Amino acid sequence: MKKNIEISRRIFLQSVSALAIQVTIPDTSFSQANLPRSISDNPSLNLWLRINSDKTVSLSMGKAELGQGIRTSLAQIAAEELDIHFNRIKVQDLDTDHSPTEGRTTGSTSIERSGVAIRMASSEARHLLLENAAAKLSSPSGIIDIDELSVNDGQILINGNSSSLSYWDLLSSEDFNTKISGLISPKEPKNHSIVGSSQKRLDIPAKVFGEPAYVHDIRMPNMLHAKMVRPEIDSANLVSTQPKIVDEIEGVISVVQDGSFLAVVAEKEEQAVSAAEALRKVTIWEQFREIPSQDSFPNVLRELEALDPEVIFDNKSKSSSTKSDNDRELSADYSRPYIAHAALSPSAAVAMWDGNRLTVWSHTQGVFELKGAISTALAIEESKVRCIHVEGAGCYGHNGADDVALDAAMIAMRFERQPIKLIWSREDEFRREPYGSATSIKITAGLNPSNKISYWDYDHWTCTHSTRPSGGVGAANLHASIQKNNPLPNSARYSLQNRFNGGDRNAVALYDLPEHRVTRHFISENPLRVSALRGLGAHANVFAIESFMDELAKEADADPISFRIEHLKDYRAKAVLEEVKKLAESKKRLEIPENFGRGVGFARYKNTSTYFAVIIDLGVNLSTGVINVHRAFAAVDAGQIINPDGVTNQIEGGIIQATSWTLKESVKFSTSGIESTNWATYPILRFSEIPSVEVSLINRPDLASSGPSECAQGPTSAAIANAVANATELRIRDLPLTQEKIILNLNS
Amino acid sequence: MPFELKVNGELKILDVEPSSLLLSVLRDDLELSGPRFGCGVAQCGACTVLVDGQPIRSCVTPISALSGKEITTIEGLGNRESPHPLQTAFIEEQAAQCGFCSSGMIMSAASLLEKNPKPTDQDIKDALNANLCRCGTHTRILKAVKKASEDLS
Ligand code: FES
Ligand code: FES
Repeated sequence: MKKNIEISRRIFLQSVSALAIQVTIPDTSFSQANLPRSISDNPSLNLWLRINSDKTVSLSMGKAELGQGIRTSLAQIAAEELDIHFNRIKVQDLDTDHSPTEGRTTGSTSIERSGVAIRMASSEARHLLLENAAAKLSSPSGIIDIDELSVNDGQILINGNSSSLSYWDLLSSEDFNTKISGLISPKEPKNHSIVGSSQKRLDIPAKVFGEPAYVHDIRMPNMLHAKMVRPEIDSANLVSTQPKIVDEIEGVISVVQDGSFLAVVAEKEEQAVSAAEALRKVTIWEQFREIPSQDSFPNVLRELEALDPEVIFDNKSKSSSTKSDNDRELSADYSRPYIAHAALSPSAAVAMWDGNRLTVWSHTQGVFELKGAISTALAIEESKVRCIHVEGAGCYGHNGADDVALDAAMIAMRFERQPIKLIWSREDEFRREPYGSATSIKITAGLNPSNKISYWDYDHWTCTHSTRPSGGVGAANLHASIQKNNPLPNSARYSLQNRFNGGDRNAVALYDLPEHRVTRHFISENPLRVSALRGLGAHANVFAIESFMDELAKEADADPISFRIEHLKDYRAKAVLEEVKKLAESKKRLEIPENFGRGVGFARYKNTSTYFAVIIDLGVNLSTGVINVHRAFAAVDAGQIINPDGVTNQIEGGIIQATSWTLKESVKFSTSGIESTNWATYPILRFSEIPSVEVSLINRPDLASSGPSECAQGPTSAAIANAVANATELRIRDLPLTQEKIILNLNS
Repeated sequence: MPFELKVNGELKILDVEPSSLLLSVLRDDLELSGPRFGCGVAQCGACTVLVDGQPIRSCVTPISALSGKEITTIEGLGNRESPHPLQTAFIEEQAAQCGFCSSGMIMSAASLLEKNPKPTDQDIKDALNANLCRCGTHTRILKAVKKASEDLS
């Protein structure tokens, strides 16, 4: 108990003391075209690194730990370049008051972007330290050249022999008050020892010892607890309520109402829960926009199209036509439903207004963007808002994290110097989070007599895949901002004209296809609130493309892997397919009572990031319709691997989560409310249903690193559908592949 | 009205209603962070603690049912100085992504290993089937529990 208090106090004091820390403000006039964005936006070396007297090095970064292990991998890069032991790196809190601005932690780009920046900053720091060492070690009788120096765990060596100096004797932090030039070459990959070796994640011990590790665990003096009262659908306004109903409930401090924003505040969380429940019962809401019935999906998506379709890719002019009259044409329609992020814990935030400044502790993916959005929504100056990242449960994209931060902030503004902790209810989390967009896809393609694809026409219908909050117009993407009095215009959320929204991700197949055309049908009016979910459009697009490749292979009477390889030019793409095939074929065939099926799926995420291929072995019970996914084999090429076990962990998790999406998941709703409100109405994969997973990593030390966290989603869904087709001759093209759907199709 | 509760070997005297839920008492009154709140309706297992060695969902259990019983949270199972073999194995196997499910998983597994020190994969899956993990860390959790069972013997 004592420990908890100490730690919470530590969090609290840290944040207060950090107010006093001197921060070098990036000089915005500085720009050098060849510097990565993270560096040109944050050119001061001391924004990134600090040498501490306790023989450690502080590393700051703009990327957030989301349970993906990013902060460990980035610390590895710093330790590698600095030639110090990994555990000397102290990764600093992500805080808008003193962290470098690096954009959001999204899109599997952290290793690509922040990794390059930290490598550059660290190699530059090492160089500065060595310059300083050379000067100190030189005497009139002997000049020491920097080339004679090397470093062993911070100790300076002269021609391999130890000297009297270490990093910790050399520099005070002011010496890093210099701009990063980008002119120092980092280590050659062949000399790496920390990068490329598995390091234990920095964040895991606190989690397995049950220590305070999440926003939910923050405790502060005078803290109050709030709970929201919300309708069944996000597009509803408050008609009436009876705040007096909570007067009798012990511990209740007040009801906070601002337009349709309704919350209760109490001394204890349990009291706030009871009060919110009582208030909910007497509150009346009115829905302000209609939503189509769930039965009308996926077809309704094509009816909702209001803008002109746009061809976003067409190589017809570049490729000579291989079309002939003897081609066989195949066409198929695919879809995926709304999928919830469904974090294991509801979103939470702590906010405190000290009369002058608002501090928000949040598990957002973008502290700087959240700071901007909150300042717009509350109409207070940006300099008066500070956001500090503290972990939440895994989010897999844009969930309720940012929304709850504004909720807590709106309440905190009414309680000077009293921190407000707000943890959403499970129900609110399911009902309010912005889901992954429903999508409908049509593919038509020709197979010529030599069984090569001769043309490929791809059409997809989807809403936006990203409504992330930011300062300015983007603040309307925070839920409460359109609920409060003087609401921000809700058009930013429900009626979007911005077509570049992630729905196109992987819509262009990586295969070498003649007459390849992709048409976007952008739906500007979102039926349900949606935003970025792991992979964005890539999940549905790859599911469709990889299912259809299997259908074509079958039509061509070809082995599905060979058929893919024949249509690929990219050597890395072919290599993952060959590797996964080798891995699966090295294992004994499964002996199972059900109908056995094997399926493959492949993609290069975003067509520019990680290569991934997966083989799924499953069984289908023809009498019950149950699909048992027994095992998965995967091959991954993420360029230079920083933390191999970290990559494997992300891939295993991606495959299992995608298996859950594929077999079970679809947000249930009626025309007046969201009906998925808990784990019974939104079931996910359980222990009894998980496959074994084996992952083979292809390391390419000389190629740029890419993120592995989102690449598995689409290929895994397709591999499962392909394996089901292999087991049963049933081709199911609408996700999820539920037991009911299998039975229905088997009987028809 | 004071209420007595035995938590991690210590007798606590608390000024709470007997109808209070154990999870609230542990988190808010005793300021323990290990039992996590995931759903509040006994569906996810994040709040699992042991009562006389049996795993229970603290989010739906009123303390009135617990007088005289031994409550163990993950803080009582082990700590950095003297970790439980399961905690060591979870770190060794890196059996977490976000880790929000970890403490519930470990508590359920601890109870399993008490009763069945040499569980098969199937035994482990059965024992943990009511504990959800959204990150898909199951295969590692399975390995970690296996490893702990070997280390315990
Ligand atoms: S929080 Fe108790 S089972 Fe989910
Ligand atoms: S590790 Fe995130 S829920 Fe299990």
